[in-house]
Amino acid sequence: MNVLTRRVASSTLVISRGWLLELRQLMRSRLYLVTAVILPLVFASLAHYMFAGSHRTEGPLVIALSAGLMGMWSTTLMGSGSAINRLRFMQVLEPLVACPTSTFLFSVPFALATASMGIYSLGATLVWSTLFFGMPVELASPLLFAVALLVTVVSLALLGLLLASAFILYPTAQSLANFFEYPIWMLSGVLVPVSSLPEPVRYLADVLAPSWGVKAIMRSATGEGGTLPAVLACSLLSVLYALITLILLRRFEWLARSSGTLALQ
Amino acid sequence: MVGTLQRNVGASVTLRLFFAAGWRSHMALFRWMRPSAFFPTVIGVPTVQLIWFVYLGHYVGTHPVAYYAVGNALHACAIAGLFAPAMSIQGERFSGTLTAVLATPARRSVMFLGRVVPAVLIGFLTSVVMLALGVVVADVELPWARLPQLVGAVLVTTASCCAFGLLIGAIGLRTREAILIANLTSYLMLLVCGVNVPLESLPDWLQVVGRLMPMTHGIQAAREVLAGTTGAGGLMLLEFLKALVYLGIALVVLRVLEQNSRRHAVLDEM
Amino acid sequence: MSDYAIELDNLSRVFRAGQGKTKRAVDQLSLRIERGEMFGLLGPNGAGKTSTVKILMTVLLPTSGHARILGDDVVAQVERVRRRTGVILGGDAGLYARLSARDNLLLFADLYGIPYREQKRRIGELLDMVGLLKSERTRVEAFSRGMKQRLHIARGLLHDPEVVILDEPSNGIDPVGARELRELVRGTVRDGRTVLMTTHYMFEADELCDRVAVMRGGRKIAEGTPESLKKQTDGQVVLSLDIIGVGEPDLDRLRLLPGVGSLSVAEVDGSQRLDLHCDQQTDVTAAVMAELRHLNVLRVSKREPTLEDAYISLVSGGDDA
Repeated sequence: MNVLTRRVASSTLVISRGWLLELRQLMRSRLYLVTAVILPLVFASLAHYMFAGSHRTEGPLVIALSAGLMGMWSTTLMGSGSAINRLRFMQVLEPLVACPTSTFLFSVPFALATASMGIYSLGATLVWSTLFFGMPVELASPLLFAVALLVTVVSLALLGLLLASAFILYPTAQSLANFFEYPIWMLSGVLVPVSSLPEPVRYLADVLAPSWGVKAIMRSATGEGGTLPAVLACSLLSVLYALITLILLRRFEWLARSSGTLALQ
Repeated sequence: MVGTLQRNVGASVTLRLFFAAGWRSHMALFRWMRPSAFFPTVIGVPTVQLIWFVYLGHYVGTHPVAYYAVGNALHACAIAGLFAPAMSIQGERFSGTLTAVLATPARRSVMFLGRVVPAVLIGFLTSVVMLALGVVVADVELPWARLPQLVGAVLVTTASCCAFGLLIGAIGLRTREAILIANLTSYLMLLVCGVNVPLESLPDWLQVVGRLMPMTHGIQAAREVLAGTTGAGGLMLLEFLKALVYLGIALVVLRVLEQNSRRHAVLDEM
Repeated sequence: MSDYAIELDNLSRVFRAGQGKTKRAVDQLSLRIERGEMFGLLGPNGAGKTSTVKILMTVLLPTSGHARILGDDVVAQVERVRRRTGVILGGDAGLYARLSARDNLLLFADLYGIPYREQKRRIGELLDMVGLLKSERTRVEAFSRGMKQRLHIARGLLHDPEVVILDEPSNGIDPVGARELRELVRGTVRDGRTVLMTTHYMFEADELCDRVAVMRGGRKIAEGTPESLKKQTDGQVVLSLDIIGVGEPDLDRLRLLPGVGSLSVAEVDGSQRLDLHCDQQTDVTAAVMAELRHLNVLRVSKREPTLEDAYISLVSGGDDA
């Protein structure tokens, strides 16, 4: 038991240190910060102006939340892809894989750091929306909202990690990150409810953790029922993603070692 | 035999510097040219983007879906248009070739402008493919009689976008963050260039930003051509002038950077 | 027309080092290099070699002084200098990794404005000379260091320049590759041209160069033929010991011995090679062995100083030699 506690403690330390380090790396680029400030505004404005004059009854809160989630997802995807690429470019990916800490442990902080930027991006969108588009600041149940948000962020981070583990193997996979952006918006039901998707595609949305997260966030904000089941579904799927990532990383690491793509640019 | 190959001037040498060297630099430095990246990024991203906005537009219901299809089809050229020139300039620094290139006597304006040509070509083709997709999924009706005008509008939009990409690349030589700038520009265009939201529904200051950005007048021109109304010619000319201005600024920035780098050695270190 | 291929007059280059401080990378450097000469620029890291080379290849401006190549000023007549000077960089960078060897050369051929008719012939010729004809269609990312360096040479000679600048060509190349490279430099690169090369490797300079200059702290501290530099160590002999476990206190005691000038230590195959530069008159062997009697001395020999010895005594000499 004692050994287990120590291992958990040291892993927590590795993850939190890595998270801080990665956040600092992201913050160092002034332009990344400018992007992080402007992008949510662009998404929020795009959503608001597109819905202006529409017969749809989505309130400004739902629109703002959707825009925020779009930004959150973009930040996470861009972040996990570029984190691996940056490591490759600085030629530290190989020594990192070679060190005794598992690849999973050192990649979790990247995903968490970019997802934290994602939370910020959601926050910024909400602030912009209250300032410019008259969004009401009231949330139906703030506590549930906070829980839903936290679970969604973790689920996004883990999905990003799942993709990032592929980036370790395929240097060009970062370009896939951009590709996944729109489909995942669509499947998670931001701006347009999942119910308007064609039937078979809807099942795909059901296995996507962030889409449950989006449901949970929306429901807790508007006061609809059913927040907790959505939170639960999102968490379970996230755990599943983490497990798949663990298996994949082992497999990918082996494949990358045998194909020699770790060092490639 | 030493010294026989050193003094060459003339049209053919300049043309090769413009076309052949431009194309090779593009192939060498635009990372997305390899098929594993080209199809998901240069073709794939505009495809899912067009489908998403058509789907969203259909749900919102303020404009016919063809409106979104046309806007996003023209915006599709931004992937090649913004990123290719940006990467092919900034990439010189990453590959360590900048010193070798700057030590050659090649005329800088011809050399850098030559790198815009492949981007225009690929950007143009992407937009054409996306317009075809628009015909399939969003009932875009192509006016066969006015096809040359439509080609002109797409071409001028792409050119203007690529000129802006060259400017981003020039800035990227100094800041190293050309890709981020290109990304931000591409998203901003979705909002302010009349891609998904008519310029008139934006606040005044955003309209001004939109008119200054590349693409806006080109997209409007394409919409006019498709609708069969007049006025597309003037808009195309305006977009073309914007392209020239952006090219001019980019070349000046590149020139200043090269001079500064000789003076302060700022471009050498990573 | 100037008589010299390369002329430097009081060339200086000052960098801002932050916090209002400045660093003189090149300090009042004057050199005359004859046409057809092969000249070596030696010096430790940070001696100012690279800044000098960058000024000559027109990518860095001097702060003061003048540099001329074939009579053309590198500041005022940039275009002429670039057309007549070839640049061969060392190391991994400087080639387009995703292009083939041939495409790299074609790209630079266009940048140097070589007419299309000439390009094919010239590139084939060069690829053959540097031994890359078989791998001409291979992407450079798959090349070994040695192959990249040979491609660098072909690239630098594309426009058949009269003056060639080689920046540490054998950096990071294995001994066999480095020997092949020296053959290439002696034959293909030189071929009647004026060559200025920088290097850390003394034997390389000794083998290739007609004359060398040694730089330290931005200044020229010696210049002449390799032989004349070696003569600076005339009247000296090198006592060389292979030894295990020699420490700093031992070295300090040895330095105090009468007749011992400078000394250097290098790791060789698990043991240390200790070189003592001594006066020919006084035989210090017995005294040295006495100081080291507590250590395991594997081998003792005496030899004539090499260029490397001359170089070491120069760059490790007093503060301003």
